Amino acid sequence: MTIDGNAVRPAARHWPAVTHTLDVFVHSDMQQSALYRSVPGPQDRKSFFEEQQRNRRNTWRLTAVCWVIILAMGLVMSAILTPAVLGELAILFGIAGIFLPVGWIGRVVLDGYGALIGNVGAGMSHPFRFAFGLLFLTGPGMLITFLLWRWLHGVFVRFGVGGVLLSLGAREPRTNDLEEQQLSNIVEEMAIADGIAPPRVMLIDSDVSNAAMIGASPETATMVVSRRMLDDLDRDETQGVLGQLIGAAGNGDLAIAWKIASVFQTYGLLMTILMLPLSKNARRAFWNLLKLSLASGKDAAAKSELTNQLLLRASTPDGLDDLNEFMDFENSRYSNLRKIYLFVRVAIFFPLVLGVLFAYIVLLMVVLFLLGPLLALTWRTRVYLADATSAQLTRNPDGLARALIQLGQTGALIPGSQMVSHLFIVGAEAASGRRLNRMQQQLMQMGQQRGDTQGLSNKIDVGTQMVAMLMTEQRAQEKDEEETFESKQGIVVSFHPSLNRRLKKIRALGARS
Amino acid sequence: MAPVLVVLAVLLAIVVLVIFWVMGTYNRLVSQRNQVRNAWAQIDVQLRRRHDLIPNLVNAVKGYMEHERNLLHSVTEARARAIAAGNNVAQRGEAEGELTRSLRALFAVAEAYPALRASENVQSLQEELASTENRVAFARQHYNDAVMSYNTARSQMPGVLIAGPLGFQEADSWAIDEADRAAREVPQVDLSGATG
Repeated sequence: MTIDGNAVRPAARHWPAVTHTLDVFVHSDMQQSALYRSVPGPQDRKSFFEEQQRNRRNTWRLTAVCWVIILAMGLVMSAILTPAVLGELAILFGIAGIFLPVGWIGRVVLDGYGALIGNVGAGMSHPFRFAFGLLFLTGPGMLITFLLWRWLHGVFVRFGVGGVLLSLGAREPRTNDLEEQQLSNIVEEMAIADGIAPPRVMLIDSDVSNAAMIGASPETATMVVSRRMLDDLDRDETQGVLGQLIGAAGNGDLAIAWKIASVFQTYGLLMTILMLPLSKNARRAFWNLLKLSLASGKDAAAKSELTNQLLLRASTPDGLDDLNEFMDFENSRYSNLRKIYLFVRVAIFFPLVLGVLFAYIVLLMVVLFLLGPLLALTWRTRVYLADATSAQLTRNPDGLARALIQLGQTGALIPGSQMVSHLFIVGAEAASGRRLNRMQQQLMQMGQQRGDTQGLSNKIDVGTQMVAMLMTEQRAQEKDEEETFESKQGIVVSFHPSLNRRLKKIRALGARS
Repeated sequence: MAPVLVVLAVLLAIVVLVIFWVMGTYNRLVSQRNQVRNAWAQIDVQLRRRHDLIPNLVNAVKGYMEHERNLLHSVTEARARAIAAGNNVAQRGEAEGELTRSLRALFAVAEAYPALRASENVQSLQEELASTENRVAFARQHYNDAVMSYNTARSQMPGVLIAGPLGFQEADSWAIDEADRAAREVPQVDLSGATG
């Protein structure tokens, strides 16, 4: 027998006897609760402790690779942007020099940079000199990026998740509602099982099932549950879901999610600052952020959410649109005078435009091909880890398995959750399985119909219907997937693993469903 | 650089590494030991919660269960004894076990009173009590999980070297009490005489 909870912890097992007689008092759906029966499954099944360890190792490896990539990207961006910014400063000082005696500053800046480059070039054969030169070239850029990161961290930690809760339309639980009273109880039970402080509980009146723990740390987090989920799941299944979310928080996933978001925020802010002279959106985002870092109180929460979205947008291909607009001096809608003004503007800011363009290309390519998929894989190891932790906390993997099967039927993204979609127990993939089933059924029906129909034109009709249906479903699926955090950030790999993969792993832990 | 200096530098580096390593291991053990202590305290919190709920329960069902005065009395008594047992682990464990058994008996008898199940007040109380029982169980489970990972850490390779000298004693898991052990006794099966 493996050393898992069963073997070492007989205490948890002896409780079924206690609670069994409680059944009189308990709702029918509670009679099956975790502690009321022993853990199912053959004895040689995988232990959830081993499963957790394996997932932790995987996370560690992937996280290390992600940090290396982020650092390397920082170096490259710094190397691209430093000369662009310095060149831009030289031009601006040069222009200002026509009116004021500041023209020399630009020349000094350029000369200094040129000398540094020359030094590095000459030092190619001397590794130490080369390394130091490189450090001087990219160091300031890296330092500035790091400071921006700390600044954002300070601002957004201060405002917490109030903005997200607002955009989700979350409300306090009703005390006179038995289901919602039960929810608060289960949350507290799971928090006790994981040894963390119970989070605040809020409900969302949505017509889809989903739940998430949102926040930067377990202490400040809020558990949000859609009312529909309470109606769909029994006590056991709800316990599995809440165990997963609380287990995830206890495992430190909230901090990881926060870091992932903050990497994108920081690059977004960097691009925003560089685009300040180029784009209205950038000026708006930066101005909001400035106001926000001086503001306090609850009414600023909604604004913090908006600013967050603006910053995150700046690190995606959407941010590139602003640059396109700036470059668009040939637009036929404009008068000739305006075209000349726009052209001169582009010419003046050319080094900056070029630098930002290259930086965007590097950022988008790295996120698309390297960082994005790796972050998604990292996050998936966290999801598997949390699933195994739920099995540990509830000692009933079957509850979570049944819950996931049910969420495959009624679960979907909750509107307004796009900034935190990865924190939810299921994402867009829950709806996709359902959609696939529906498509199969409809196709089969139509196939039948097609076989029955006489005449070519009727058959073509049915065929057209099939294509139309497939296209509609495809479009709906794409629209769903666009609403996830990862997709908004230009990551094509979903953060949520497929439900079937998760179920397979949970079954290996002893779930029978 | 003189070779002696190089050797000294390497030795110094090794010593510094060892110090950091010992510090890291020590800190991990301390935090795990604190988790065990905290988990133990949490069981107590949940048991107290149960004590606080029992008067409400007794009041709520008293009207319906006029004929079960003895039973209700025994629940109240068991609660009083559990509170009186204080922090003595053995006595406390015994008293809490008795309280659990008397609650069980009460619930078993309550099955015969359909009016109880219909009362909304009682229903809400049921949920609270069921949840309390769960909390006690989960608090024990968490304690035992914490004990297991602490004991593993102090007996596995880096920890075992410093656990003994620095006084990290083995923690005890929460044992099952005798009555429950008897209830889940595995029947002995003798296959020696079996023929295929």
